[in-house]
Amino acid sequence: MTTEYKPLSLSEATGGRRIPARLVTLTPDTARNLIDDVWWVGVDPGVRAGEMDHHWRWEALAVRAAMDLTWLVVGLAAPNGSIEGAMTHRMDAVSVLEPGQVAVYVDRLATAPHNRPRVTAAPRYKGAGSALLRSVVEESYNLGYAGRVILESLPSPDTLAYYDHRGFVPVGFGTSGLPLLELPGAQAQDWLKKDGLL
Amino acid sequence: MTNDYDDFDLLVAGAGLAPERVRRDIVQPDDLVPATDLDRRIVRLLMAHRDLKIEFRQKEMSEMDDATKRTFLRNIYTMLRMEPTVDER
Repeated sequence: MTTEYKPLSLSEATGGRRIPARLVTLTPDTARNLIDDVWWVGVDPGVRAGEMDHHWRWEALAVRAAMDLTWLVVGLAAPNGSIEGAMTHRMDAVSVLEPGQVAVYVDRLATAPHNRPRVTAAPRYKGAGSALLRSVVEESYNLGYAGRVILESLPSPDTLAYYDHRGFVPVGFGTSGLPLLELPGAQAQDWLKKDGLL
Repeated sequence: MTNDYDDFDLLVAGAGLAPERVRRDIVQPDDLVPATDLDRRIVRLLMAHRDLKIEFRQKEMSEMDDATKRTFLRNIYTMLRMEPTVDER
Protein backbone atom coordinates (compact mmCIF):
# COMPACT_ATOMS: atom_id res chain seq x y z
CA MET A 1 0.00 0.00 0.00
CA THR A 2 1.35 3.43 -0.84
CA THR A 3 0.79 6.49 1.27
CA GLU A 4 -0.51 9.53 -0.50
CA TYR A 5 1.84 12.46 -0.09
CA LYS A 6 -0.06 15.28 1.56
CA PRO A 7 1.12 18.70 0.47
CA LEU A 8 0.14 21.68 2.58
CA SER A 9 -3.48 22.61 2.42
CA LEU A 10 -6.24 24.55 4.10
CA SER A 11 -9.90 23.70 4.59
CA GLU A 12 -12.65 26.12 3.83
CA ALA A 13 -14.31 26.84 7.15
CA THR A 14 -17.71 26.44 5.55
CA GLY A 15 -18.09 23.13 3.76
CA GLY A 16 -14.62 21.86 4.54
CA ARG A 17 -13.35 21.78 0.94
CA ARG A 18 -9.60 21.32 0.84
CA ILE A 19 -7.61 23.88 -1.07
CA PRO A 20 -3.89 23.83 -1.79
CA ALA A 21 -1.60 26.13 0.13
CA ARG A 22 2.10 26.80 -0.09
CA LEU A 23 4.75 27.81 2.35
CA VAL A 24 6.51 31.08 1.53
CA THR A 25 9.48 32.75 3.15
CA LEU A 26 8.44 36.23 4.21
CA THR A 27 10.66 39.20 3.47
CA PRO A 28 10.19 42.49 5.29
CA ASP A 29 8.23 43.79 2.30
CA THR A 30 5.92 40.81 1.96
CA ALA A 31 5.40 40.63 5.72
CA ARG A 32 4.34 44.28 5.78
CA ASN A 33 2.22 44.16 2.63
CA LEU A 34 0.51 40.82 3.19
CA ILE A 35 0.20 40.72 6.99
CA ASP A 36 0.77 43.99 8.87
CA ASP A 37 -1.18 46.14 6.42
CA VAL A 38 -4.11 43.78 5.96
CA TRP A 39 -4.69 41.30 8.77
CA TRP A 40 -6.37 43.68 11.22
CA VAL A 41 -8.19 45.90 8.75
CA GLY A 42 -11.87 46.03 9.64
CA VAL A 43 -11.46 44.17 12.94
CA ASP A 44 -13.31 45.81 15.81
CA PRO A 45 -10.71 47.55 18.02
CA GLY A 46 -12.13 45.94 21.14
CA VAL A 47 -11.87 42.50 19.63
CA ARG A 48 -8.41 43.23 18.32
CA ALA A 49 -7.22 44.35 21.74
CA GLY A 50 -8.24 40.95 23.10
CA GLU A 51 -5.93 39.09 20.71
CA MET A 52 -2.47 38.70 22.17
CA ASP A 53 -0.74 39.13 18.82
CA HIS A 54 -2.51 42.36 17.88
CA HIS A 55 0.70 44.38 18.27
CA TRP A 56 3.07 41.99 16.49
CA ARG A 57 4.88 43.54 13.54
CA TRP A 58 5.80 40.78 11.14
CA GLU A 59 7.90 43.18 9.10
CA ALA A 60 10.22 43.69 12.08
CA LEU A 61 10.40 39.93 12.62
CA ALA A 62 11.34 39.45 8.98
CA VAL A 63 14.03 42.12 9.27
CA ARG A 64 15.53 40.20 12.16
CA ALA A 65 15.41 36.95 10.17
CA ALA A 66 17.15 38.65 7.26
CA MET A 67 20.06 39.50 9.56
CA ASP A 68 20.20 36.21 11.46
CA LEU A 69 20.03 33.07 9.35
CA THR A 70 19.15 30.87 12.31
CA TRP A 71 15.72 32.51 12.17
CA LEU A 72 13.07 32.00 9.54
CA VAL A 73 9.75 33.77 9.03
CA VAL A 74 7.28 31.87 6.91
CA GLY A 75 3.70 32.28 5.84
CA LEU A 76 1.06 29.92 4.53
CA ALA A 77 -0.24 31.32 1.25
CA ALA A 78 -3.66 30.54 -0.18
CA PRO A 79 -4.02 30.24 -3.98
CA ASN A 80 -4.87 33.93 -4.27
CA GLY A 81 -1.63 34.84 -2.49
CA SER A 82 -3.17 35.89 0.80
CA ILE A 83 -1.26 34.84 3.92
CA GLU A 84 -3.51 32.71 6.11
CA GLY A 85 -1.04 32.10 8.91
CA ALA A 86 2.54 32.96 9.78
CA MET A 87 5.31 31.64 11.99
CA THR A 88 8.81 32.45 13.16
CA HIS A 89 11.21 29.78 14.25
CA ARG A 90 14.89 29.39 15.02
CA MET A 91 17.21 26.46 14.46
CA ASP A 92 19.51 26.86 17.47
CA ALA A 93 17.59 25.20 20.30
CA VAL A 94 18.78 22.24 22.30
CA SER A 95 16.53 19.31 23.09
CA VAL A 96 15.28 18.94 26.63
CA LEU A 97 14.15 15.36 26.18
CA GLU A 98 17.23 14.13 24.37
CA PRO A 99 20.35 15.68 25.90
CA GLY A 100 23.03 16.44 23.36
CA GLN A 101 20.51 16.72 20.54
CA VAL A 102 19.22 19.85 18.84
CA ALA A 103 15.78 21.13 17.93
CA VAL A 104 13.92 23.90 16.17
CA TYR A 105 12.15 26.37 18.46
CA VAL A 106 8.87 27.91 17.32
CA ASP A 107 8.93 31.48 18.54
CA ARG A 108 5.62 32.74 17.19
CA LEU A 109 2.74 31.28 15.29
CA ALA A 110 -0.53 32.95 14.38
CA THR A 111 -3.36 32.31 12.02
CA ALA A 112 -4.84 35.26 10.19
CA PRO A 113 -7.48 37.02 12.29
CA HIS A 114 -10.09 36.40 9.61
CA ASN A 115 -9.71 32.67 10.30
CA ARG A 116 -10.34 32.94 14.03
CA PRO A 117 -13.82 32.20 15.34
CA ARG A 118 -13.11 34.58 18.23
CA VAL A 119 -12.55 37.44 15.80
CA THR A 120 -15.08 36.84 13.05
CA ALA A 121 -18.45 35.14 12.79
CA ALA A 122 -17.49 33.72 9.41
CA PRO A 123 -13.92 32.37 9.43
CA ARG A 124 -12.45 31.74 6.00
CA TYR A 125 -10.14 28.78 6.50
CA LYS A 126 -9.23 26.12 9.03
CA GLY A 127 -5.98 24.26 9.38
CA ALA A 128 -3.43 27.03 8.90
CA GLY A 129 -1.88 26.43 12.31
CA SER A 130 -1.60 22.69 11.74
CA ALA A 131 -0.09 23.18 8.30
CA LEU A 132 2.50 25.60 9.66
CA LEU A 133 3.32 23.30 12.52
CA ARG A 134 3.84 20.35 10.20
CA SER A 135 6.07 22.50 8.03
CA VAL A 136 8.38 23.25 10.95
CA VAL A 137 8.53 19.57 11.85
CA GLU A 138 9.58 18.93 8.27
CA GLU A 139 12.12 21.76 8.47
CA SER A 140 13.59 20.23 11.61
CA TYR A 141 13.81 16.85 9.94
CA ASN A 142 15.49 18.26 6.85
CA LEU A 143 18.04 20.09 8.98
CA GLY A 144 19.04 16.75 10.44
CA TYR A 145 17.29 17.40 13.77
CA ALA A 146 15.09 14.29 13.46
CA GLY A 147 11.97 16.48 13.47
CA ARG A 148 12.38 17.67 17.06
CA VAL A 149 10.42 20.87 17.74
CA ILE A 150 10.08 22.90 20.94
CA LEU A 151 7.48 25.55 21.68
CA GLU A 152 5.68 27.30 24.49
CA SER A 153 1.98 26.54 24.54
CA LEU A 154 -0.87 28.58 25.84
CA PRO A 155 -2.06 26.79 28.97
CA SER A 156 -5.66 26.20 27.89
CA PRO A 157 -6.80 22.56 28.06
CA ASP A 158 -7.86 22.60 24.40
CA THR A 159 -4.48 23.83 23.21
CA LEU A 160 -2.59 21.34 25.36
CA ALA A 161 -4.90 18.58 24.09
CA TYR A 162 -4.04 19.56 20.53
CA TYR A 163 -0.31 19.26 21.16
CA ASP A 164 -0.76 16.03 23.08
CA HIS A 165 -2.62 14.63 20.08
CA ARG A 166 0.34 15.59 17.89
CA GLY A 167 2.80 13.83 20.20
CA PHE A 168 4.25 16.82 22.06
CA VAL A 169 5.50 16.10 25.58
CA PRO A 170 5.59 18.58 28.51
CA VAL A 171 9.18 19.33 29.46
CA GLY A 172 8.77 22.15 31.98
CA PHE A 173 8.05 25.82 31.58
CA GLY A 174 9.41 28.45 29.24
CA THR A 175 10.83 31.84 30.11
CA SER A 176 7.32 33.29 30.04
CA GLY A 177 6.06 30.71 32.50
CA LEU A 178 3.98 28.98 29.85
CA PRO A 179 4.17 25.20 29.41
CA LEU A 180 7.21 24.20 27.38
CA LEU A 181 6.51 21.29 25.04
CA GLU A 182 8.79 19.19 22.89
CA LEU A 183 7.95 16.95 19.98
CA PRO A 184 10.38 14.01 20.16
CA GLY A 185 11.99 12.78 16.97
CA ALA A 186 10.07 9.50 16.94
CA GLN A 187 6.69 11.23 17.18
CA ALA A 188 7.76 13.81 14.60
CA GLN A 189 8.68 11.09 12.14
CA ASP A 190 5.41 9.27 12.81
CA TRP A 191 3.60 12.45 11.79
CA LEU A 192 5.71 12.87 8.64
CA LYS A 193 5.24 9.20 7.71
CA LYS A 194 1.50 9.46 8.23
CA ASP A 195 1.43 12.38 5.81
CA GLY A 196 3.56 10.50 3.28
CA LEU A 197 6.59 12.74 3.65
CA LEU A 198 8.99 9.97 4.66
CA MET B 1 -11.80 22.64 19.39
CA THR B 2 -10.87 19.69 21.55
CA ASN B 3 -12.26 17.13 19.16
CA ASP B 4 -11.36 18.92 15.96
CA TYR B 5 -7.61 18.76 15.62
CA ASP B 6 -7.57 20.66 12.35
CA ASP B 7 -9.34 23.61 13.86
CA PHE B 8 -6.22 25.12 15.34
CA ASP B 9 -6.40 28.86 15.38
CA LEU B 10 -4.51 29.55 18.58
CA LEU B 11 -1.19 31.23 18.96
CA VAL B 12 2.31 30.36 19.96
CA ALA B 13 4.03 33.30 21.58
CA GLY B 14 7.36 32.24 22.90
CA ALA B 15 9.08 34.69 25.17
CA GLY B 16 12.43 33.57 23.88
CA LEU B 17 14.71 30.70 24.60
CA ALA B 18 16.38 30.49 27.97
CA PRO B 19 20.16 30.86 27.50
CA GLU B 20 20.79 27.28 28.57
CA ARG B 21 18.49 26.07 25.82
CA VAL B 22 20.40 27.79 23.01
CA ARG B 23 22.87 25.86 20.91
CA ARG B 24 26.15 27.78 20.93
CA ASP B 25 28.06 26.12 18.13
CA ILE B 26 26.15 27.68 15.23
CA VAL B 27 28.12 30.40 13.51
CA GLN B 28 26.66 32.89 11.06
CA PRO B 29 28.50 32.95 7.76
CA ASP B 30 30.41 36.18 7.28
CA ASP B 31 29.64 37.01 3.71
CA LEU B 32 26.66 34.93 2.64
CA VAL B 33 23.36 36.54 1.75
CA PRO B 34 20.93 33.92 0.45
CA ALA B 35 19.01 35.24 -2.51
CA THR B 36 16.61 32.32 -2.84
CA ASP B 37 14.96 29.67 -0.68
CA LEU B 38 17.34 27.11 -2.18
CA ASP B 39 20.34 29.22 -1.15
CA ARG B 40 18.89 29.55 2.32
CA ARG B 41 18.32 25.79 2.54
CA ILE B 42 21.96 25.09 1.71
CA VAL B 43 23.38 27.74 4.04
CA ARG B 44 21.23 26.69 7.01
CA LEU B 45 22.11 23.04 6.51
CA LEU B 46 25.80 23.89 6.52
CA MET B 47 25.33 26.06 9.61
CA ALA B 48 23.64 23.14 11.37
CA HIS B 49 26.48 20.79 10.47
CA ARG B 50 29.76 22.61 10.88
CA ASP B 51 31.43 19.25 11.38
CA LEU B 52 31.15 18.76 7.61
CA LYS B 53 33.75 21.54 7.30
CA ILE B 54 32.34 22.72 3.98
CA GLU B 55 33.21 26.31 3.18
CA PHE B 56 30.70 27.98 0.90
CA ARG B 57 31.18 31.55 -0.17
CA GLN B 58 28.97 34.17 -1.76
CA LYS B 59 30.93 34.07 -4.99
CA GLU B 60 30.49 30.33 -5.32
CA MET B 61 26.79 30.55 -4.57
CA SER B 62 26.18 33.30 -7.09
CA GLU B 63 28.05 31.38 -9.78
CA MET B 64 25.99 28.21 -9.40
CA ASP B 65 22.79 27.64 -11.32
CA ASP B 66 19.83 26.02 -9.58
CA ALA B 67 20.56 22.55 -10.95
CA THR B 68 24.09 22.70 -9.56
CA LYS B 69 22.82 23.92 -6.22
CA ARG B 70 20.34 21.04 -6.06
CA THR B 71 23.13 18.58 -6.79
CA PHE B 72 25.24 20.23 -4.10
CA LEU B 73 22.33 19.95 -1.65
CA ARG B 74 21.84 16.28 -2.47
CA ASN B 75 25.55 15.70 -1.91
CA ILE B 76 25.34 17.32 1.51
CA TYR B 77 22.44 15.03 2.43
CA THR B 78 24.46 12.07 1.22
CA MET B 79 27.41 13.12 3.39
CA LEU B 80 25.04 13.41 6.34
CA ARG B 81 23.57 10.00 5.46
CA MET B 82 20.17 11.61 5.42
CA GLU B 83 17.19 11.12 3.17
CA PRO B 84 15.19 14.37 3.19
CA THR B 85 11.41 14.46 3.11
CA VAL B 86 9.61 13.71 -0.13
CA ASP B 87 9.16 17.28 -1.27
CA GLU B 88 12.84 18.09 -0.70
CA ARG B 89 14.17 15.29 -2.89
